[in-house]
Amino acid sequence: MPIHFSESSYFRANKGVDRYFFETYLLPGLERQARIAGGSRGIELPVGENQEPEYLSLEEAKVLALDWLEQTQNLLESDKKKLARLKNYEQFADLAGNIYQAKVKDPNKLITASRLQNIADLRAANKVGATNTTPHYDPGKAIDDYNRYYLKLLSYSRIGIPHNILQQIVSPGIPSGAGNLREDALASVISANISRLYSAGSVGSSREAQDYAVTQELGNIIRTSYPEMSGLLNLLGDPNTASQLREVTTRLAKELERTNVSLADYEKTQVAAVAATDNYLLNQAELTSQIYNSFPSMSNNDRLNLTSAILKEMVSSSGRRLTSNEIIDRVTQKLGVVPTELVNIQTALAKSGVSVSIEYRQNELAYMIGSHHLTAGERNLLSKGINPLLTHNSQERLASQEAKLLSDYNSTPGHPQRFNSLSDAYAYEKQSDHPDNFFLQHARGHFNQLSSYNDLSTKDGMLSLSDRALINRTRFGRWVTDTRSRAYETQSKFFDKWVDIEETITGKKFIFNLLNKWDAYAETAIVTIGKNKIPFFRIVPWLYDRFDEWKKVKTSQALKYTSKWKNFAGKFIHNRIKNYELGGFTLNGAYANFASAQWGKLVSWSLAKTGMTGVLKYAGVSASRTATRLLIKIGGKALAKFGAKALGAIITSATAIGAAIFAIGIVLDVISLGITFIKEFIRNSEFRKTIMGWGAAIGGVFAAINLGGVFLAIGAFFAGTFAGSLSLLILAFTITLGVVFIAPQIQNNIKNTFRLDSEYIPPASSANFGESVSCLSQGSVPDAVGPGVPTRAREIISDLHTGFWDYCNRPTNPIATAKYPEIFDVPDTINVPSVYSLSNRPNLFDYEFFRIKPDPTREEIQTSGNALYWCTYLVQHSYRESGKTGLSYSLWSPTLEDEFRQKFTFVEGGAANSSNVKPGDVIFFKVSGGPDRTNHVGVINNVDPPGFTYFQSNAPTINSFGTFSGGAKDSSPGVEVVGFGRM
Amino acid sequence: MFKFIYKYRLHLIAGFILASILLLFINATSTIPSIINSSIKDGQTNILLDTSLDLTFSVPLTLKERRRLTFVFTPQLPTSPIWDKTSTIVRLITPSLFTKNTHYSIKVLYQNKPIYTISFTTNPYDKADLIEQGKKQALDDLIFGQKVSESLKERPWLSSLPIRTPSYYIYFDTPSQKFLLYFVAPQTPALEQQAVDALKKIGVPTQDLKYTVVN
Repeated sequence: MPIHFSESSYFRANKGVDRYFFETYLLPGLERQARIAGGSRGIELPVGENQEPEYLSLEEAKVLALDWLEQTQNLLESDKKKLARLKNYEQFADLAGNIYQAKVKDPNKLITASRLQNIADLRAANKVGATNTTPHYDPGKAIDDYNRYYLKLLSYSRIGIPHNILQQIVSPGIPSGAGNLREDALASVISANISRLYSAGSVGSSREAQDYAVTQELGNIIRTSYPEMSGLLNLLGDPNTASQLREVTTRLAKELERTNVSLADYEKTQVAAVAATDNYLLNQAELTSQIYNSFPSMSNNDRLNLTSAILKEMVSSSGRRLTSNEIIDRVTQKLGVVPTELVNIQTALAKSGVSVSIEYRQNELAYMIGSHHLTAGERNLLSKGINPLLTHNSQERLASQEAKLLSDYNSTPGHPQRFNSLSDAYAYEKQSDHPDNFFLQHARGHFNQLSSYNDLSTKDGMLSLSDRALINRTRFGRWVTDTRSRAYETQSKFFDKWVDIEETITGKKFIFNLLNKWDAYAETAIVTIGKNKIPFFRIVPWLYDRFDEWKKVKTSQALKYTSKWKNFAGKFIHNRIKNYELGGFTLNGAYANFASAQWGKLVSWSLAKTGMTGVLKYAGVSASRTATRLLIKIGGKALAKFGAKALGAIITSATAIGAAIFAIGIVLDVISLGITFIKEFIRNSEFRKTIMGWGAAIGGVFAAINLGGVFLAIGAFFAGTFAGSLSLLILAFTITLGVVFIAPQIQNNIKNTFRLDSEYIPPASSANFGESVSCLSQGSVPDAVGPGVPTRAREIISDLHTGFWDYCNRPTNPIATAKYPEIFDVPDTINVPSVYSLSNRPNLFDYEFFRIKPDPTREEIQTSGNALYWCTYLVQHSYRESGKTGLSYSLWSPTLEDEFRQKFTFVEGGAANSSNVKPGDVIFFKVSGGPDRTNHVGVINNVDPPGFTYFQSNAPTINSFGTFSGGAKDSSPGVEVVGFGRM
Repeated sequence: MFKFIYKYRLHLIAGFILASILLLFINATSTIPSIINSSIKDGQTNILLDTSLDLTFSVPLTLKERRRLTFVFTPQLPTSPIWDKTSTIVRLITPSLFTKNTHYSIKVLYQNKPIYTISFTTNPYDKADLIEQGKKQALDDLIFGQKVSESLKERPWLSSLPIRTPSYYIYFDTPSQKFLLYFVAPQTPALEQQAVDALKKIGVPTQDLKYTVVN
């Protein structure tokens, strides 16, 4: 039962909502818990040792998150409304996370100590900031407040015990020349992030856990915000360092509190300083006039050119953060200004205080660019000095927005007068003692966007027509990219939802049983004619299999024969037969194989000539992704069925009896096909996704997007090729219209699907079957019956130990077990060296998590993706290390089952017997009472007439057995054998 | 003859040295290195995204030869080749991992001429997918394990089954609650009794000792 936050132990321990709590509990908790089907208990709050767990309701978590964002982030009204409206917690966490990321995730990137000092100097020199100080809001004060606290911490870290500790941490590990790893640098990171670090260190249940938490948090901070200091990460692994770091953190936090500043206050001032810096320093629009005004002695033309060049350089150089002097240096080099003049320009900008804003805005853009995935068009804009993040609205749209802003302003009660232009209203509000900050913020942003369409170096002061056209094309490109992402996201959410719905469908079990019975019946209805045992209800596939075998033999013979032909015609024939082999022994596949190779070459060449490689990638991928799935998974099956029917017709219609059998066969086959389709649709999520995805793609957004891409490409092709020869134009046009975007990629995928795996040499085995195993076994663990998969599986389980829940899910790891003497009396010994180095990679077990929670609940185990050696690892490693690499590397048993059903052989559990189950098969289980799907897998070891044995991991035993009595049955009641997969 | 050699000894030594250098040079420039093995086989599928590619050359390569090599990934991928101590094996590490479900081809060029080509397809799932799959599997395994534990608690002797001897196999068929006896050797009353005794030995209570002989 969730409790109110104010009643939680966390709150009672004087801890409120701060950045650490927001980042570590609220956001991830909302996101994760919202996904739990059937309702969540809430977000688990940190509690002390031996205390009952406490949960926070998702609704309250949402309110807390919203409050915190509002309090600290200067939330825009629109964002606040949007967040409050969202009923879906996952979506809420998404949006809140984005707002948080965009504003304040890494304040220290932009408000460094030197920048704070620069702003303080500006204020001391009475330089006017972008936003005026009012009795209600003083951005400068917010910056000063933070600066004061920060400097206090920094200076404290430079004396006495903190200084000694920091010196001890850093000095021994410093590599020569690592300037960023100085004691001062570490002190500044800790000081700027004291709140996060202290919060992290006050959660763990033991001293060691707290030390560890501080180190982890510091590692996260360095990784995300201070990559230039990543050398420090090497120093963090040592437990002694962890303890020292926590000591410093605690001392600095206490020092802060001694001056009556709580950590929460410190954090608030830090976040407020970020917003204040943005408000205080000039933006692009404001910089335009300020830079211009900094050079009164220059000619008008020179001033315009210089201003334009600086503004452009700030944008085009945003690949990395530069100082203002570096920016000016680059500008003067481009303009060919003499060095003496460079100094004058730098001095003038510094004197007017503009250089601080130039540097800040350049750094801000660099930071934003670094965290955005830009399209090619956007990168192009950047290189031209046009900020793509400010041109997402067209000029027409900006004009209508301006009209709306003005009319909203004029109609708002309380505003003393009506204005005819937005700039007049803005100028008035800026000077007002009681300004409308909401209006000011919006209008300021609006003017900044408008300024991005200006270019002072042109006659009319506007960007050239070609640049504006480029902006429009880029905006379209961004729209396509965003819409496509949204469509994929929606599609994926829909499918996820479908999976949830599917779990609860009434009558699904009945349908499954019916389908299984049909399969079992169809499997056993066998007619014996001579030496042939023909499954009556599966006569067509049976005939197809025979035909397939015949084709393989004949093709192999033909290849051998034609390999001696060395002339052109002979080689041509040989290569086409090779295409036939690689194309899955079908004419269609052969064509696909041939065409793919030829088209691939042609397309690459043509695209390289026209410089359009990116467009193919852009437009082709989304179309082919959906199309290929359909063609291969549905089309492939349909073609096979069609071919089989045609073959059946030829063979059986020769006689009257044959015709009758054929007619019955077709009817039954149609029924079977229908049932197979329904069954596939219900059971197989990939197949279902394909069907539904394809329908959606054709019917809706996908078609538009893909066509948009194609049209773009056609236009671009024309543009590119008009400059070249006529033949190139014709070639480009033909390729574009017909085949470029979809066909080659589909063909290529078909080729890959049919391609045979090369010979694989498995690692040398050094199995020692005589060794005892640490896990509980059922009976004596039998030796593997033969080489390959069973042997490898036997070797792997020989090196498994009990782990979580006392199940066999911990791979041998002598190093880790020696490190945790409180858990393991004796370190592990390696039974099978090749297993240790390959399959049971030691990192497939979370020892730290195990130490804290050896019996985690279902929810808890979800927090660690690599916690233990799942059952599917055994299948994957046994197969891969025995040379069977055709199986895709997936770790969920239903996905594995789907793959066996689609690509390889699958025997239904109800139809299994000692002759159709083989050693090395993968056995799939379903547990009654669990989710209605496959839950567990194992590897079949040996098969006897009465039953079978299998190996497994992440279960109470490493081996078990089942029997054949009217299908396969497991020895545990309530465990159903779904079937057996073989490749 | 010896006089002649002695007289021109310096010329001969110089000539020999020059010839050696020339031969070495010709040899060095004319041999094109060949690749004899690759850790990923041509056409292999489902390659994990963090896999690195090891290529083994037939002979150790000099620094000069290494500089003449180019590794071209399609689709493009930045790579850093790292050589082993023997200078015969190069490991191609791609800092940005491979993309899932993608067909890659790698061409090795020596002085811009192709000497080796390999192509493969990556796994359809990336690390994030696998972690998600693993989490789901952990939940499912937990349910399975609970059933097995309950079963073993109810029938502890199940953990000693099946019994497989050279003469007979014994399985327990849960649905029918009977043991299934299969005789490898010809069935005799004595052998049958031996099988029953084996069951008693693992703790099967007498009232549960129902069995069927399977042919």
